[in-house]
Amino acid sequence: MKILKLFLLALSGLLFFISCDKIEAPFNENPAGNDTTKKYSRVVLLEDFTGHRCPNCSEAHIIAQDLLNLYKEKLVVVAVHAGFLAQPAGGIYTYNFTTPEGTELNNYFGLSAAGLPKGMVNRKKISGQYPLDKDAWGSEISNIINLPPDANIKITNNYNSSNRTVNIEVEAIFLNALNGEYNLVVQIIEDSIIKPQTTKTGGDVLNYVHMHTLRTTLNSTWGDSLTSAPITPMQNFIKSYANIPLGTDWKEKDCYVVAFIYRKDNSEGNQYEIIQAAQKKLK
Amino acid sequence: MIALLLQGISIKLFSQENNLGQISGSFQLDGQFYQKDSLIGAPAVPEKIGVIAYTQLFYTRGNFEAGLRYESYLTPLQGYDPRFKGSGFGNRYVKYTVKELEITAGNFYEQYGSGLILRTYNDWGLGYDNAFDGVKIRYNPYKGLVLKGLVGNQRNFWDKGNGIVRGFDGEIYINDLHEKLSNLKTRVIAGGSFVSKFQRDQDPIYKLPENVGSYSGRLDITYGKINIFTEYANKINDPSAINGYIYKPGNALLIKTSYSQKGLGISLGAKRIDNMSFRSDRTATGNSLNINYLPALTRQHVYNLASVYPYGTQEKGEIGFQGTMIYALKKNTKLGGKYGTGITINYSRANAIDKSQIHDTIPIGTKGTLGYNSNFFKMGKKVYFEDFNIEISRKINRNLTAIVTYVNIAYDIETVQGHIGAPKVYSQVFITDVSYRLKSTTTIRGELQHLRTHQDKGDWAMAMFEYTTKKWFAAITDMYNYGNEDKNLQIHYYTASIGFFKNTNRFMLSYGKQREGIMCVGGVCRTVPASNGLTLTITSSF
Repeated sequence: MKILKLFLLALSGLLFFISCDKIEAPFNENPAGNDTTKKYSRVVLLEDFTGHRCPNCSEAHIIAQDLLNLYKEKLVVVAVHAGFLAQPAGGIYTYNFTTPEGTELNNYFGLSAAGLPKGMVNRKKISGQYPLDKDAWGSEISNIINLPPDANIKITNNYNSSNRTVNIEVEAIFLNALNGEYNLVVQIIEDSIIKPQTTKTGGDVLNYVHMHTLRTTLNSTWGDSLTSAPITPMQNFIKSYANIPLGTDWKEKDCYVVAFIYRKDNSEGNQYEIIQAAQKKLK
Repeated sequence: MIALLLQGISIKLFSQENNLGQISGSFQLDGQFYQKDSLIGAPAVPEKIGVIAYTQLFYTRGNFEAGLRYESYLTPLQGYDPRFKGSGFGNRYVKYTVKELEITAGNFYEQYGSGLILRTYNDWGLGYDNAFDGVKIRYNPYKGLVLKGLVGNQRNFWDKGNGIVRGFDGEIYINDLHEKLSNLKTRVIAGGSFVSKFQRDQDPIYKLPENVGSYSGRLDITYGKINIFTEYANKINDPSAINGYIYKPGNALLIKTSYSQKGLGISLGAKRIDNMSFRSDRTATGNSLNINYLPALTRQHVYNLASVYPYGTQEKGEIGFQGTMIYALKKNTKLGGKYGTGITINYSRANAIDKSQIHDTIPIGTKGTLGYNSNFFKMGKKVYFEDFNIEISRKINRNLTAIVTYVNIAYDIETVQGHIGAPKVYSQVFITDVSYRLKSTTTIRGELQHLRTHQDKGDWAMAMFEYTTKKWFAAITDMYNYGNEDKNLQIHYYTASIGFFKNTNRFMLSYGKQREGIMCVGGVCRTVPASNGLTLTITSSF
């Protein structure tokens, strides 16, 4: 009997030896590609909380860009500069990338407090936490990106070059019947801002190309309420934002309008979760 | 406010031993009241007070044991991971022994060998708890053979980590196997482990291994006054956030030898770590979800200024050495003095490992490749840490004891603390520690310390005076950064503390400034942000 016990234990020990996945090169996945046959598709929002004096953040920027290259128009990335390492500081780091709304989001969801770089995918809570490590972004996005969408957002921009203002119209169409209350947030982001950035292996990079930087939030941190009544399929809402001025040093050709819808109430436990995002060139 | 805190919380639970079993446990509370101090870098903390506390209960009755730990981090103190915020049962388990089989279900800690392949533990001061949540068994089929197995997830703050860990360990006490062997002067223990973890691969860019296995073998030989311990661990491809998603296998080797006789002890150690961070979630960073423990082969300094530059183990790769000699000069000799003198000499060093490109066109550490090649016996150029220290302790007369210490540390602050671009720190520390016993239960102690360096924050001087009786103690400390290049930062970090002991309860209140730094225990570190204010600590056991 004892020998049998030992044998069983040894056998289970041996079974462990089989549980090893040795991967042979090449190590990259063959990307599934985007299915462009459907009319509406889900667009996911990735918020990359970052700072110009954060050494590991440049690695997060690369990850975000790799994911953009893979998912293309199905992914929207917003880089939110917030926290201690994003503040204007001495030396070459005098530029202010921060915005009051970005700071409020950072404090509320505890991103920089958990150590940058951190991000959120559709502001979804993972294992009870909002801040998500950069290496987990890809997996979380892949989980949700191919799910059928619950809403569609159409952005129309009308840029007035004479006074550098833009009129923005956002149309939100709910595709399914949904419970809950929903808010709409509209932001402007800018690509290719050339300013210094600390990197881990390269030290201070003077002409770093900052991408998808959050420049402003049009309708306050928590956005405008779309509806509080139960939603019926194909119900739509239109919100307009007129004469929005661009900042003096923003390059209009690199600006995009970002809009997303999120759940405001917590009756089903998924408060703040974003159900759809969209991005449209400003000019 | 202060009065309220002083009244404090006193725990009086009795250890009961009767047919209904025995209850025992412990309690600790740490509270901090924050004041903004921009000069030293102490931030304004919105909630103003941080309190962390735990209560640990154990219940045993015959072969049955159960434990429960309730924790509250409201809010986590500065320097602790903010993901701890909240309260709940951080640990609960039941354990039962049936003859040779011991079963534990719930949260448990475990260690295989030296911990190179698996070690989970809890360190309240560090905010470190990587306990398993699952099932563990220990089986002792016959004398001399111990088998262990476990399966579980790991604790991830108030949730469980993503990965599932499975472990198996066998240990043979050779001398206990057979009567003839038990009489041998040489005592040998041999062991081996296998640990694997499973985590789904949902990464859209890389093909990641879902099952990652590692194995290890160890040997412990004692012959008379000499002991040799060695362990080798190897892990297959494990691309992770820590190693930059490279597919290189990892390995670690640890060798320790010691010799001890009356009045003399010598110990030597060597280790080599290459890509051996092993976590149950490949995206985890910081101090969370470690499956194994990579030892620091350095001296754990106790004195303030000797701990300004502590070493944290570099899990990506390092080669380390340590040698310690403890010698007791005999009593009633010219050198030893009337009561004898103790001398401790210690030297430790940690180097980078050798790394070379796997291919001309692929830089070292490129994501999604095999990373690098490494010659096992070659050391890399960078010296991360070097520490030479000598301590002489002498009892001068019946009441007076003096300890004099010299520490010389070379510290790669850029690698160890992440201060990008900061030059290597070379520091020398002199410490004098004198204690005088006034009465049988009353002692006064004074320390004078000096740290000399041309880098980082410059020179420091420290003085401490402490008065201890049977029931209470009081201490004042001042750490003065007089050598700081910036005159505004030549600050006195003073602290006044007072404490009370009663039975097994201990209360300590201190007020003052805390300098910014890091705290490391056994090579595992956490940051200690600058703070200014009141600190309260209460501990109790029953």
